[in-house]
Amino acid sequence: MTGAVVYSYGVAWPFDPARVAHLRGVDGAAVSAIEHEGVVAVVSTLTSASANPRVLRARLERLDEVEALARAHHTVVDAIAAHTPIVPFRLATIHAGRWPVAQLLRRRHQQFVAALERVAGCAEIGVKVYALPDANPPGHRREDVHLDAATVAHLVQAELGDLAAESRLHRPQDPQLSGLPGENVLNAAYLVDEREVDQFVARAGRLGADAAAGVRVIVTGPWAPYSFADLEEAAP
Amino acid sequence: MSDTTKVRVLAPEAESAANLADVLERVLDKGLIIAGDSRINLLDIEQLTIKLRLLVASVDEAKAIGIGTDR
Repeated sequence: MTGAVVYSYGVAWPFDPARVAHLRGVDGAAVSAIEHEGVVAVVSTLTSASANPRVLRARLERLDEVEALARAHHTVVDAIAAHTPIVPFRLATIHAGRWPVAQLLRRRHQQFVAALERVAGCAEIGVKVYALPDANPPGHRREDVHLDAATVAHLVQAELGDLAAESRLHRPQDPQLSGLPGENVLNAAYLVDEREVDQFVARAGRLGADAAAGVRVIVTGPWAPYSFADLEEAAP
Repeated sequence: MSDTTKVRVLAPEAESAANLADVLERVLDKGLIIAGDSRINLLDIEQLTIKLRLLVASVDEAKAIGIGTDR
């Protein structure tokens, strides 16, 4: 165990190890926790091949490998988020052993506690607005659809923003990745109180149902609070 | 506190709760970067991130800088 290279998924409040007994992370490795004063890092050990930075870097240059890593990372984060608040780390956060991770927990203890307190009891919901000019509703021109989509995007930001604790705007997604037709005109993430998720999703659904032809609202989640995993930056 | 069970709802509008673009967007481009710890972090995550986040924004640009798509 000593000296083994460690992959970290995020920091969380402590949880029952039995909860992760079945869980497998990157390269199929078992998941465990490193604890320091009430904050844990969720980790797994990398195989010696993956632990080689050169090998890993090469893997991250291939989309299929990136996808496999991203899905493994997400599976662990998502499983932990089902039990306890977690602040996810960026993909490929790797340390030279468990001790450096413990050091990290010690050095950043207060920041991690603050970040966890900020997202505790909340889930992230994604809301995207699409313009589908090819839907070609009768009497509608391409420009009309974009105008309608912009209107819906404004409504989403105004109404859903009010219901959420925090919000973030992301770059529109490339259709090559999403596989969705049309243009992604709004890509937002909302941090929502878990008790209000149903209400939030219903409101988002209504905005989608009321939208003009050629405009689509897509809701995803609940996610672990990836988009709200910041240190220090105080909530507005 | 540590064992509060979260409510898991699947949004009715969700196409698929975790399609590839949404997962990549979050895992590659969001999430905490442990910066300033490069002494112990084996990869230069920030440099890596610049490349990977491009992948989310534009597959074509990502290809241009050498992220292959052997799919």
